[in-house]
Formats: sequence, structure tokens, C-alpha cells
Amino acid sequence: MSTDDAATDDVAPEDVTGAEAPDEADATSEESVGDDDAPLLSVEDLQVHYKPGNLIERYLSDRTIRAVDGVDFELEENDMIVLVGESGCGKTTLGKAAVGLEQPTDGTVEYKGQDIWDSKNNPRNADIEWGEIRRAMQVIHQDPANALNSSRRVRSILADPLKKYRTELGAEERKETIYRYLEYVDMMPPEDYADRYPHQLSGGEKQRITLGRALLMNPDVILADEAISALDVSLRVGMMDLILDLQEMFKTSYIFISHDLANARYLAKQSGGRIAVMYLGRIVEIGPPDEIIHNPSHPYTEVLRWSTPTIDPDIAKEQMSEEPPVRRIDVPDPEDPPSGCNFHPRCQYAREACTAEDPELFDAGGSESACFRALPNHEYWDSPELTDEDESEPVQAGFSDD
Amino acid sequence: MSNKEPKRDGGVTQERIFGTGEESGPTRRSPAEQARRAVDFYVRTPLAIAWSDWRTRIGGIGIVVYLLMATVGVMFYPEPTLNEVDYFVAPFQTMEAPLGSDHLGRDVLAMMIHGTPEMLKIVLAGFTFAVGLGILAGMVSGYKGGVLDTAVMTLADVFIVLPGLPLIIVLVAIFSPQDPFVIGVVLSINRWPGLARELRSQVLALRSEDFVEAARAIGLSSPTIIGQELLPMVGPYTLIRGTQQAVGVIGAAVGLYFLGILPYNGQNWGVMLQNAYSQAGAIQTPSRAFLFIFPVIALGGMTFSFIMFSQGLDRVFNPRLRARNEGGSREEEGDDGEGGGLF
Amino acid sequence: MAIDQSQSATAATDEPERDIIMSARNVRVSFDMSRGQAWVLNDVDLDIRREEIIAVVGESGSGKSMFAAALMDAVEDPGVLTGDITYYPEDADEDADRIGTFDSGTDDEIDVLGMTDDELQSFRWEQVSMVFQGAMNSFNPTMKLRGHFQETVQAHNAVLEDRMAHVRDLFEALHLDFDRVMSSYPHELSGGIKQRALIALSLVLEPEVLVMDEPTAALDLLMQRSIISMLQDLRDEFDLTIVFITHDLPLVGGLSDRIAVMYAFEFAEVGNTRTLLKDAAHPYTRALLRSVPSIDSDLDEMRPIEGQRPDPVNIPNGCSFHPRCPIADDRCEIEDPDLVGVDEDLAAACFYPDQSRDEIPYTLETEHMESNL
Repeated sequence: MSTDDAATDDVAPEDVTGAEAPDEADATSEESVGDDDAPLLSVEDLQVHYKPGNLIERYLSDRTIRAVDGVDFELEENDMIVLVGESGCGKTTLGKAAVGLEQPTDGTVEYKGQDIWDSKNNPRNADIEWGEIRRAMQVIHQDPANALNSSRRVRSILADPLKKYRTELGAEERKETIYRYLEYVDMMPPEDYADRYPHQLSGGEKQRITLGRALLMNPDVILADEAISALDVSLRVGMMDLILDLQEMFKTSYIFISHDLANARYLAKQSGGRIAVMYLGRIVEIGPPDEIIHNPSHPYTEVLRWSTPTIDPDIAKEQMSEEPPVRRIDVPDPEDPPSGCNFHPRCQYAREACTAEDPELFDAGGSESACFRALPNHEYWDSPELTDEDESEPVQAGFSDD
Repeated sequence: MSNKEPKRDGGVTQERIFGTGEESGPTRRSPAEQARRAVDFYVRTPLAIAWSDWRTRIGGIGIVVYLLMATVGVMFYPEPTLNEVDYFVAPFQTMEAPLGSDHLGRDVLAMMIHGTPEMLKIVLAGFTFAVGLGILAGMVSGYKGGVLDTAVMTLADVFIVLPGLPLIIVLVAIFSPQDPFVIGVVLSINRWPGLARELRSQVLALRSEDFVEAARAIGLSSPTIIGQELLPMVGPYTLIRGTQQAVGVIGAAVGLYFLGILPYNGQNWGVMLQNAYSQAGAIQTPSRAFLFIFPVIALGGMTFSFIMFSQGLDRVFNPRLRARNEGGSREEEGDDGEGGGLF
Repeated sequence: MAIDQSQSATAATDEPERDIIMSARNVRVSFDMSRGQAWVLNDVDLDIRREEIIAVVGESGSGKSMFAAALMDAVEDPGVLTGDITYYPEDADEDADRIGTFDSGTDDEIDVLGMTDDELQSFRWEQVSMVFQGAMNSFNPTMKLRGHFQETVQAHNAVLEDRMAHVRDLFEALHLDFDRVMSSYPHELSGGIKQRALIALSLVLEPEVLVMDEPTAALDLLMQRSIISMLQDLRDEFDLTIVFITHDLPLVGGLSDRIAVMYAFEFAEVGNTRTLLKDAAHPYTRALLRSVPSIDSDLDEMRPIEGQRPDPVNIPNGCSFHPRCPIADDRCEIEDPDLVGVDEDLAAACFYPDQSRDEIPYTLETEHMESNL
């Protein structure tokens, strides 16, 4: 049977914890008093808007950056969703807001049916405590060198989550747990590694420590923010495989952020998850990787697909002479989104109807796509084409890279 | 851990990785080995690194000398008494007064030795107060921000702006402190805000770092984050600045004694200087200059020792040096990162 | 250590025979570190041909950036650079309307490492130009872009107005709005625009060779891909030779004519892009191709490369890849293989290229999927 941990006890009194067979597939016995059917994580109409500039500018001007501009998605247990997009599309902000590291300006984030900010601000009315929520949602950052405190040893870094959430363990037991994790991720001898400072570890090893720090919390959701981008290319597959193995073992869900469509495909396919394409603060297409990559519905997804190089040299050579499927190469200003569909100024299929209305995510067959072209009966098909503006005029400078 | 069922995957289960509380596995280190490593990490290596830097070495020796003076010296060397020798005996003449005597026939060396504890107490008090308050005010307001930040920093600004010397003179006049610890605190009253502001700006830069975000994600409380994550990063800087402040406090104390603003309370180096100036005319009379010079050497030596010691201390905090000096650990300056770097 | 490169890799089937514009022989760079001497470039040889695009591919810590620096004699102190780097300029009379101050005289061979500082200063930017990694963040924030161009041009005793027409052509090829970009400060421009402006800046004096170190690393996918296309246009329009340094192998599959793969501070394999990608000879290249997921690769075939790259202070004896190589044997532990021709247009530094091809499988085949693209 599972251990009964007083520190995280959120089992409602009437719940039965003793009758589960050990090999039941869905063995979560911690149902809260709230919604039994609620998805693990649910984000609804999430908005994160910033006012840029200093104190006075913020006060006087109307300028807002809409980093996340109305996003909905749901994450189940043992699920994987990979957010892809260019810089400035809001994927990092969305990820952080979804795991409670950033407060949204509007919209809700619900963990098993419990609004997480409600839980933090009104603890007395909460079904699930903020402490439990905080434990359940963890993060792995892009640059492991920054994500580890350079003045602390591995041993003490990995002890943090245990000290906080497994208070029943004594010092010896904590050490043992840490050693076992290090052994599992091939950092042998574990005692030697535990004594090291971060600078004595290679990039891949550092990243395994940040992964361990998150996993030792036993979270339900991990946000992996470009977690493999800082590693050598030949090591990335290894890291992704490790993440997938551990997911298989602990049934953790992942929100993975990637700017690289090829890696996104690897992760999503191997885990049976989805890819969500983001543009200017919104999800423009979401679906299984095969659909997104081989049968894209949204024009922007086509652009990303085109931008991702293929290794086959013959195909690559052919592609060199292809024009990009966009009307403008430069990313526009996130402060000043265009009317109607966000993407229409750059879209090669844009028509007048696209300037009038803002598309939602429509069912496009295998995936969902925020484009009127997914609807066979929409007025888009009768609408005249947009007169092409001057091609060479670049849109105003976007903000510099993330 | 949650109440989930342990997940199964062949031989390796979640339970096994997270530990069920079993004791050590097959090949763990013996307690003797663990103890040896602990001593190595926390005692031997820091000392070795400290010793390897000439600044810390010299400064450390100096501090030890002063500590010995204040403890052993005070115990064994007789206190200065009036008329124990003739007035104004020149230095290096007699064993009764190896460094000479002052206008009241007191042994200069005795006065120097017995003035040491008081000076050290003033330094300690000044350092602790300035650094302690600086850390508390600066780091907490830097990390928390908001109203707390504005309030504390406004208070700090008030102290920065108030003219230091007149403020201290007024406080001393009101409270007439005798106890060296109190003197130390009063004299550092205008020194903590500078340190607070400096630490605040460091914390502002650090708090958006990834490892701090990770600590927040774990759910660590703010005091824990400040103490555990941020403090080690600003440690060396704080020590050095704190020592500078403490040394400034000595200077202030001596100055105020010299000016006669701090009440005369028996012998201490500042009073020695005062007497040398006013009673012995040491400035005008070369043969009596020694009455000036020896206290100055004592003060200068103490200041120099503390500053040198603290300058070298940042090496002890440097994790790369710690690692390099520890026995038996591998030096891996590995960096798998893309971009940047030499190669 | 002579290579067979000129024989083996020259007679490529569908490329015109190109003559050589720069060549490196026996180039070594070492640093004295407290834990020993680090060889960050370990006796490399390479020919660069006129008007080709050659990609130097390697992971972080392979020595590729050091190689680029060596080409320009720009290795920082306390690094020690030895060997021969030779530049073969255009014919003397074509030199007549050379911009700038570089004077090759009547030599048709120039020893780059033997040049004086003044000669180097003219050489760089006028003959061989370089775009460093992260350079787009090194613009002077107090100066508009026009000022940067002005400054560069003046430093080479030329006049900006004369160069304007050429700059306009460059901007057009790079899809930049001339008036807007020239009158902007660097912080007003996005990363993609800055990088393209930087490329234009490095070409303002019409150099023969452009060396680029990870020029697209920090940029978005679309911008990366667009810049790759623009580079091909630039090469065609201005007869440039481009040396493109990157860790991203798929990125240069369509752009480069030849690829040179670096591992542990040496060249492991050099050859025609298509031949190399289709059927690489060196075990490292094959393992690398097997470890990099691309948009259409077969996922179950992917394998990471075991082990870690070597420390420059502690390069393995014999073949530097042998500790991680699946087919290494005793000979590999003792002898260091030279680059030898394997195919007509491919050379690899391995004793067993055939065995490597047989025993280390990788596949470029796309998955079987219906595609609507």
C-alpha cells in the first residue's frame, strides 16, 4: 500500500484507500472533495498581459503586451503537450502561468477542478491546499547552469524537495533516496556525484539533477522549458528518452516547450501526446504530431514545417529553391496585434474575411485549428483576396529574442 | 509523497527510487569515511584555501596576534597603574616599560594590551550590527519588493542623508555610552543603510534567476530562499563590505575619543592618542612622538589585518576553489552548452 | 601530415572543378591551463575552394570556433597558434579596383599567419570577413546602424558614399529596408534584422571569403531558414566563398556544397554534402546522424552517442573517437588515423570505413505517411 504522508494528506475522510488492487491501471487514490472527473490541469481563457516600460510609462500609456491572449487547453494524467512557436509567441509565459509560477491577468487555471489562485488567496475555502498544488507542479529550466545554485552541492540541492515534502525521512534515509536517484540516472558512484558542485558536472549531468529535483517532489505536472536546448545535439535524444522513461514510470504529465519542431515531434510521438502551435499569444493549432507535421491545417503550422530542415540532402536541395509560405519574414510587434486573425498580415491565404473576425479553434479533422479554412462553409471562401501590400516593407521590429 | 499506489515497472519502482526508509544499500561509505569527508569539506579545505592566499594568511596571523593580546596578554600582563615607572620613560629602555611610559607613568605596552579587548568588542559590535541590519533590511526588501521595500528603503535613505558625524556626536552626547558593544552599535548607525542598498540591488538581480524560480516552485518559504540560496551568493561581498564598515567604526571611535567626545573611560588607544596630543605634546616634541606612534601602529595593524583577511575570504566561498582543493574529487570543467565558450 | 584530400574530394561528379582560395595545414592551437596543456585544435588540414559553401560541423567543444578564429589569425591570447594558413588571392590585375588598403602585390600565395598587424587589419574585412557567434549583440548601442557602416568603411580608407550602391544591393538580398534599418539604433531592431544587418556589414568591402560562426543559433526557425536561403543568394550574386560553422547538421544539408565534420579538435570526415549525408564513412558522423531527430526521421532508430567528448587536456591516444566508437579495436587505441579518401568526393579519418558503413546503421528515410504538403 502507499505510504500515508501526513504532510500532504488531502484525502477526504470518506475516501477508501485500502481497497485498491496494486496493479490497477489508474491508481490515483487521492481524489479531492472536488470534481472527480476534472482533468489534471485545465486552463481556460488564460490571459497574461504586461505593461512595458518603467513606472511612469506604465502609468501613463495604454501599451500592453499580450503575452498570452486567451488560451484554453486541458492536460490529463500521463499526458504530454509540446508547445512550439517562435520567440514572442508566449509559450514560456503560458507554461509558467499554467504551473502557477506566474499570475495571469485573466482567466483560470484549475488543478483537478480547483482554481489554483483561489486556493492560494482563500485557503479556507479551498478543496485542495496551495501546498499540495505547489508540490504537484514543477519546472525544469532551459539552462541547467543557471538552474542550479553554483554555491551548493548536489546533495543539498536534491535534499530540498525531500526536506519539504517527505518529512518522515531521516537524514540517512534522505541520503539513500538521493543516491538511488543518482544511480538510476547513471551518475556513479553516487556518493561522489552527491558531493560535487554544479560546475563539476557536465551539461547533461546538470540537467539530470534539475530533473531529479523536480521528480523527487513527485509532481503531477512538470513544465520543461526548452529543457534540452542547452545540451549537445548528440545528447538530446538521451535526455528526451530519460524524460520519457521517467514519465512512463511515474505517470507524470509534461508541458514541454520547444522551438524545434523535430524534437517536439520526437517527444509527442513517443509519448502519444499532442503538439500545440502558438502564435502571438494564442494556440493556433493543436493535435497529434503526425497531423500537425504531415497534414497541417493552419497556415502558420505550414510555415513552421517549412522552416524545419530535413536531413535528407536531396529533399533539402529541392527545398532551397522554395519560397517561404509567408508574406513577411519578420515577427510583428506583440504590442499591436492586427485586427481579425492575428496571422493575416503574413498569411499567404489571407482574404478580407480574415481581417474582420477572430477565429477560434475549430475542428479540422485530425487536429483543431484557428483558421476559417477549416470550415468548409465559412464566408472566407467567398471573400475577395487581400490586395498585397508592399512585400519588401518589413513590419516594425519585434521584441528581441526571448 | 502522495497517497498514490507505487507504480510498477519491472524491477525499478517509484517506491524504490524514492526510498521506503530502508537503511544504506550495499556499497555506501562507512561512517568513518563520511566523517573524514565532512572534516575535509568543512574544516580542512576552507583553511587550506584561506592559507593559500597571502592576504588571508597575513591578515589571519594579525588577527590571531590581536586575539592573543586580548586574551592571554590581558591575563598575564599586569594592568597599567599610575606611577609604576617614571614619567615619559623612553621606549626600549627598561623591561618595566618596554615601550616607554606616558605622562602619568603608565607602561605604554600595558595600555596597548589592555586596550585591545575594548577595540575588538567595538569592531565586533559594529560589524554585527551593520551587517546584520544590512542583510535583514536589504535582502528582505529586495526579495519581497512592494510596500515593504519602499518603506525600508526610505528609512535607509533617511539615514544615508543625515550627516553622519553630527548624528553620532548628538547620540553620544545624549547616551554617553561606556560599554564598547554599545559604542560599536551607535557608531555604525549610519553604516547599515549603504550595505542594505547594495545587497538589495544584488538580490534584485538574483531573484529572477532560474534557480530561485525553481526554489519557489518547490515551495520553499521566502526566509529559506533568502538564507539558503541568496545569502551564499552575496556572502563574500557582504563580508568584505562589512569588514570595511567595522574598520570604519574603529576609526570613528578613535577619532571621537581623540576629540574627547566619547567619555574618558580609562585607557584605550584613542584616549592614549588624546593624551599624547594634549598632555605630552607628542606632536611638537620628537622625543615623545612614540606616545603617538605606538597606538597608531596598534590601530593600523588591526585595521590592516581585518581588511586583508576579508579580502582573501572570498576565495573560501568560491565553489571552484573548494572543489579543486578537496581530496579525491574530479575536476570537470565540462560544459555541454551550445554557443559561447572557447571551442 | 599530408592529406589525400585534394585527390579524393576534388573530382566531385556534379561540381565544377574549383580552385583553392584558402588552405590550412598542420594547424594547432594550444592553451596552457593549470591542469595541463589543452590542444583545442589538433593538427588540422583543410582546403577551402573558391565560391563554395563549406559547412564545418561539430558539437560544442569540438574545436570548430577555434578553427574559424585561426583562419583569420584571431586566436586570443594566451592561445598559441602554429601551422600554415595560406590565402590565394585573385589575379593581380583584377586587384586593381580592390577596395581598401590590402595589397597582395604580385604574390599569389599569402601566408596569413606571417602577416604584420597592419596587413592583418586590411586583410580582415577586405579579403576574409567573419561574423562571430553572438556578434549581433555587440553593436554599439549608442550608434545608429549607419554609423556602424561609416566606421567600418572609414577604418579601411574607403568612402561610404561609394559603397552605398553595393550596400543597397546587399540589403535587398537580405530583405532589409535600407532607410529604416540605417536610421535605427540596435536596440530598436529585432534579432533577425540585426543578424542580417551584421551580415551586410561584414560584406560591405566585398571580401572574397565570409566565415560565419553559428550565425543562426539564437534565431527563430523561420528566420534561420530564411537566412540560409539568403546566403545562397548572396553566394550566387556576389561570388562569395562561405565557411559556415554550426552544430546543426540538418540546417546545412541543402545549403552547403561540402561538409567537414569535426570531433575532438580534428576533422573526422570531409566531403561532398550529399555523399556524406547519404552514406557517411566515419563512425562518429554515422552515430551523429543517428542521434539527431529530424522532422521525418524514423524515431525508433534514434540512439544517443554513449560517453562524453574528451577534455582538451586529455585527448585519448590513437584515434580520439575510439572510447566511444562501436567498432574500435586495438589498432585504434594506438594509431591516429589520417584523413584518407573513401569515395571520390569523401575522405574520412578512420581505418575501417567499410566496416563503419556496414555496422552502424542510420536511416534518412522518411516515415511512411500520407502527406498533404
